[in-house]
Amino acid sequence: MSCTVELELTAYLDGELAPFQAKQVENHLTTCRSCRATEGLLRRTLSQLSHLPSFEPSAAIRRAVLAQIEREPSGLRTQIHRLFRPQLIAPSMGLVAAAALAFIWVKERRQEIAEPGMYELAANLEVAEDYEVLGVSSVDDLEVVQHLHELEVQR
Amino acid sequence: MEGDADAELMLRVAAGDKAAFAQIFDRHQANVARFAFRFVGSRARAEELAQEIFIKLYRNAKRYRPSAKFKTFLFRVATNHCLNEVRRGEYQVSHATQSADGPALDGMAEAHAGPEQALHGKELELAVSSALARMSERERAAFTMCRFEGMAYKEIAIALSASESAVKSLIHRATLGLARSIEELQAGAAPVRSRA
Repeated sequence: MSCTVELELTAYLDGELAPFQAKQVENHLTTCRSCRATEGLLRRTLSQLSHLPSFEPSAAIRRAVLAQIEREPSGLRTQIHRLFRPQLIAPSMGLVAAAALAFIWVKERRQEIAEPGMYELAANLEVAEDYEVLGVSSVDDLEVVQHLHELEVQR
Repeated sequence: MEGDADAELMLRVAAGDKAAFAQIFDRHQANVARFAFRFVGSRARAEELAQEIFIKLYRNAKRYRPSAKFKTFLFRVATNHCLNEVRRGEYQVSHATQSADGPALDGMAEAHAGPEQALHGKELELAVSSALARMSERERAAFTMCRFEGMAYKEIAIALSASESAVKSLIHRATLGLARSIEELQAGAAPVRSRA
């Protein structure tokens, strides 16, 4: 007839008992021949399990599972996450930088083109102002106004 | 921090990241296949079950909470799947008392020679298979997680939705059953070895 401590022996060998319980079992083993025999049998069995042949699954499992997973629908977050992969981000950033540079260059070119027009407009406004100041009354006066700046330069 | 890495990977899997799933698979497929093999006793069936378990894991990744240890979650999925499949009659447990399953022991590495009284690799494998076949399903699941996956009683209790004291009893009965099985086999095998 086995005693109740026998039920604790496997947990004792597995280190699953609280320290005080383990101590109780140890004390019991010094006095109970039956439990000592069972403890020895369990200990030898656990030791032998380490000699079991190892089980290695075949590589076919990996192929089969990953192929099946590939057929499963992806989550929305993953699809968004994929858009930010370094493989896509680097070329995308390059394209954005190139587009920004192109935009700045075109804008500057437009300003360059616009500047002569602005100078022409300013000059015309200046001439119009001169007409007003001088009180133009004949065609000859127009000619005088047009040559006013030449006179200024000569001065 | 392997556990944390698994939890992080699982969160990515939950978001549908298939590359993260491949990493999880590579880290744990041997454990799951070994568990299934010990549970049903057949290499071919164990591999089928392992595939199904991982596909189920992928589909149920959103149910994983990082507060739970990943391996416990994985073995909960694995245990439930194996128990369901066996109960549905999809798989008959076929632990070989001899090499009836044919390839059950094929492809397994030979054990190195042990002490004089120890059984040799295939003899020991047959003794273990025989003992596993006699265990209840829950004893087999608890024993396998404890002895082959090194899981603590607490983790096994979570995986089996059982109390720790229940797990302690399951593991004790299973281990003692195996010990008796090996003892009997050794007693029977001793004269055979003495003739050799």
